[in-house]
Amino acid sequence: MSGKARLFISGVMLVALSAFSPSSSLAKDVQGKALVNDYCTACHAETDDGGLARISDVRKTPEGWDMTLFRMQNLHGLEIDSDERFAIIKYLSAEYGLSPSESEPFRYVLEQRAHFNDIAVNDDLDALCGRCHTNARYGLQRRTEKDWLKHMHFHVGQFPSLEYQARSRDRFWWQEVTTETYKELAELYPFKTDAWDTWKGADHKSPAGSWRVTGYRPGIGGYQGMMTVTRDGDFYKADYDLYDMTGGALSGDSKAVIYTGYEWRASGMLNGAETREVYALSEDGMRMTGRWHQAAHYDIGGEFQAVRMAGAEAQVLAKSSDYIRVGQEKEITLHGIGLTGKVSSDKGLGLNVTRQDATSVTVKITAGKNMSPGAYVVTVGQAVTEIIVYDKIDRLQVTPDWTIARLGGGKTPPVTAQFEAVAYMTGKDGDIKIGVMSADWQLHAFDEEAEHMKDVEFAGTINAQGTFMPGAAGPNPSRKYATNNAGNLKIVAQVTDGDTIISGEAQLIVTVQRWNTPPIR
Amino acid sequence: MKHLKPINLKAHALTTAPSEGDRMEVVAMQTVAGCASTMDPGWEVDAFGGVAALCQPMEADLYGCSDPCWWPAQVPDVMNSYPDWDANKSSAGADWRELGNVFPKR
Repeated sequence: MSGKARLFISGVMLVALSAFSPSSSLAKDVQGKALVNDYCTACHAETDDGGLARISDVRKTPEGWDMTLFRMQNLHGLEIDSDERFAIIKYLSAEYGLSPSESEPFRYVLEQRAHFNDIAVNDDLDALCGRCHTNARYGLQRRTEKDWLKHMHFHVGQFPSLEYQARSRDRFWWQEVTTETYKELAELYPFKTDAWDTWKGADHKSPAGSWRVTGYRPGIGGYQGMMTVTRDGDFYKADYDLYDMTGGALSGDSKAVIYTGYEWRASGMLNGAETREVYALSEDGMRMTGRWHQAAHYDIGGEFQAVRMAGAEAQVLAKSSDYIRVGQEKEITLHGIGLTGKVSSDKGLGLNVTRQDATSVTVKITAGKNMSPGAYVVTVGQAVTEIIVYDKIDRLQVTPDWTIARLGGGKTPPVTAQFEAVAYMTGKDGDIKIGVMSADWQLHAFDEEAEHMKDVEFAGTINAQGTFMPGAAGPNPSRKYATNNAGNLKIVAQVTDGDTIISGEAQLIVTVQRWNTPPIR
Repeated sequence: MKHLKPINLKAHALTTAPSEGDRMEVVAMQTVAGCASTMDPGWEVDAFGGVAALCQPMEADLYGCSDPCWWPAQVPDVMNSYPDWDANKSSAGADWRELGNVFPKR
């Protein structure tokens, strides 16, 4: 799987850091420093400038430090309990972390997304690092130049077969990584940056307070409500009062830790399912964004956005629907903050407010038969949003247009794939996105090979919500060559628009499981 | 090399390799460690963007990956990092359900 742009399945089902079961003793950074001095100095010598060899030359995310500690435990005999582990990660993430701007380009991996675009800086780094890792793996590290060089030596010592792997054989790879690549990485991802120095010295905001939440569950739809965050020693407790767009309740809570002044990691429950949360608190402390997922299934979760109620401007954050067809009447609820003002539209969209409070406005919207298709501005006092009026669907796009699902069985859960059908109409200046539509979903063989191997019969099934559930792992005696239930499938969505059926397609690779499952792949 | 005469196809390919880069390619391919190393089939996706040319059922050669540290990002390498990953599971085809994830769930 070569090439610059690649989709990666981001492995198994956990955010390593978010599911602590810490005891009542609250870890302090000073305690973490003492523990680092106690445990790490057995091997990591003190340097002339007062640091510790290797450790003081590296900066990482909390997940990155967690993986380092795991390696020290797994390979080098480190023995620590969970409280000590937590305290050490908290200290190292505070002392040698990444600033918000440094982690921002690679949050898709931290958020355990199953589907994302992972684009290498260039072909060389794609071949040398991207052959095994996401490009976020090295993009989420900062090292001194000499430590990037040591990182090359570490790899050939720990994984000696990389010498013979494809994409090593076609180049003088060792010469390359020890004369050029480490310098390139040190330039791209240097240890010392103004961004980190500034963030480390900044006034980090507390997440405690009342938050307006909006979010989206792919294949299911939007949700909205409130989150109340209270401080609990070194931790934070979040209580959720959320509802889907049909009014169904999503209730739950979570216990969170803030690492590096902004990295919210929590474990919780939502409607009875155990969850993990990976959010970033904005530098001004006014927003939190990220993704939550089920603890047992990282591929199943939701987008999350929270805006602090105190001091927020009037704004629309979510809608129960984004669009209305010409000639239709439809009730749409706008969700946001400060929605007490007058509801109006600039171009004559029929509006009849049926319910209004500060956080939600329900409007019966009428799109007259003679209305021109396009985006119509709707205002609620100072808050502004748009409703799309369409007369016909011109194009249906299935998202993601290419992705992977993994077979599950034994100790390895399946990785599902979630598709959505997004409708577009042709406007004067190009396509206008209408929104996500309900669709009929079908599976087809992607090519002749898939037809020949009867992939559709074995690889899995897709439900009415566009969720693909892969088949069982393991050799299948019913298949030719007793091969796995892998498959190369064409996903087809069909939406009925008046008298017309509009189709869209995507490709799905159903492939085998993986057992190496760190939080950063 | 001028005093040596090639006696098989690989040796002949080596002597006729027009550039140093191609010569290294001929030499490196002498290393055989299993399906993965000779065929480079890919783990998730094959060279043609599908799955038909993958080494499957992958359980047939799974330990040919884990023993020589071949797909270390996907398959735990028992050479250095996880020596006990497949302990007491002598047949991947029969025992694959017992193979666990190596990074601990927390």
